[in-house]
Amino acid sequence: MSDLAANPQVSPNTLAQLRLQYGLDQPLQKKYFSWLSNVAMGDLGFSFVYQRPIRELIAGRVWNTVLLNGIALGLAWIFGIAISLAAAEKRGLGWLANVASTLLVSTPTVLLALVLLALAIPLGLPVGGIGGLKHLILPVCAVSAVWLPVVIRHARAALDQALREPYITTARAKGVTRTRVLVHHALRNALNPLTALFGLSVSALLSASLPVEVIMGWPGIGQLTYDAVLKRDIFLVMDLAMVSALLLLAGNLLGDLLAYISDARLRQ
Amino acid sequence: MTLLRRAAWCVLAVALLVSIAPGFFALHPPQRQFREYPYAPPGVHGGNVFLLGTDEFGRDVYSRICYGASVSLLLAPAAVGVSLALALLLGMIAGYRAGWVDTLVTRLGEVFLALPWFYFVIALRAALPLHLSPRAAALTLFALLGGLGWAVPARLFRGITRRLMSEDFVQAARALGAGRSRVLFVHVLPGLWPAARAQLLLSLPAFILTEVNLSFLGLGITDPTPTLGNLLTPLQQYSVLTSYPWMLAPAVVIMLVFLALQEVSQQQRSSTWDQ
Repeated sequence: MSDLAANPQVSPNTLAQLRLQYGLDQPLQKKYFSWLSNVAMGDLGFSFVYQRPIRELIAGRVWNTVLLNGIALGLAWIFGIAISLAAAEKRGLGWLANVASTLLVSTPTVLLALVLLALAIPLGLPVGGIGGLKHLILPVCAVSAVWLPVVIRHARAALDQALREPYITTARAKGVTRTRVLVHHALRNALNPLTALFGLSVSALLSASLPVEVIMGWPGIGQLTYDAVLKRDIFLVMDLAMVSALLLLAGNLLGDLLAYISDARLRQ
Repeated sequence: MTLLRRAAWCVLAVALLVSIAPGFFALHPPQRQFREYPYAPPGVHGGNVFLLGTDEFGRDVYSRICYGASVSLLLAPAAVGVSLALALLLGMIAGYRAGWVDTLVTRLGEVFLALPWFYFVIALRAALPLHLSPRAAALTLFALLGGLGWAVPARLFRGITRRLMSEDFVQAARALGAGRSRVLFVHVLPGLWPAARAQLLLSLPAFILTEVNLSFLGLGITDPTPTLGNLLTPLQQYSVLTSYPWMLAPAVVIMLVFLALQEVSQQQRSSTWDQ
């Protein structure tokens, strides 16, 4: 609105009319509560820049972000735990996992995304955009790489701790195979501290996926947020921040559920 | 001290020196354009030494990295300092005073934690004009990072303060008539240092990364002032990314600093265990 006010071609009359139309002449608390009640009823307002209801804009994008982050999250946790299990079995692999995770955790996401993009052509993968499964590969790699080293680190520490417990020795003495001890006895107990990290991982991935979406042209809410900031559509930015908070809340809820499922003690 | 640790400390020392005195290390002024040599590979061109090549305007990448490091690597620690000081203060007060103060600080922190970090920073950045002068942009980033980063450490410090409050030595100090500020600053604060140090080493890379990401996207400090983030911006062009590998040098600097920080923080962890 201040941009319009600075424009000499817009008359004060038009400005006053616009203010009236969008309710900008109302006091702040009234504006806030009308916004709140609209949001509660699913009306996110209207984007001035895109000239479309914000709800439509976000609805078309949010599932792309959920898809990207969901797959990246799943892959980071599954691969992270699998690598830690393998590393617990073989010392040499453990060293390799250490070096790789240290390198990976030190790589800025933007750099990784850029390098992956540079590799897209030689690998025959699409550069940006959305479509089939092939389009997902690079963004998912870039996003999940943010959390993979963290999982490896914590899972290895938790497994190390669990493997030192007396019940492991008991199980081994009773003749349970190494693999079974590792998966059924050590991992089961190591999972418990890891579930506390789940909510954190959702937050980290959402943050990392914003630059990745921008660089790789993935049409999610991260890219939309970036565009909205550049086009100065403050309402859209605000609603998108709220949606990202909702996604984070959903992730935390999922984390609590997983903790409940993985730990029998919580169910009693 | 192993060789790796020594190397890590060396990297950090060099990074600090360059950040404090970029003019001493740089070979050219960071804004000087050698227009005859755009995208020149590393080497000597017409009597000018370009250690890490030049960018699209013929500016020396090495010199720009020196000045960029000075912005990026000094801004982040300063912001971490502010956010940790805030976190210590709020965490200690919340831990010391149960009741509504504690509730207020805890709930406020939870509001901060409900938003993914980068969305939070970007949403607040959006409220400001798009184009800021380098000085204003640096100040904005400093305020954003320092003002938003306290929530996680404050929660940690509050928990430790609560635990320390029930310790005998704190109880004894209170019984002897020590006031609130004496209890907090003389008896509780020393107990928070190890956690604060660990948090410092966690926040530092995170803040550097946030600045890099924001400046890379053009929402932080923008060209012509170099930072480690906006030096990477030209790489968004595919041709630059694939044809001029020396443009990746700023990213290598960031990685080296992060690797060194990690090595040092591992040492910190093991030395606290030894105690």
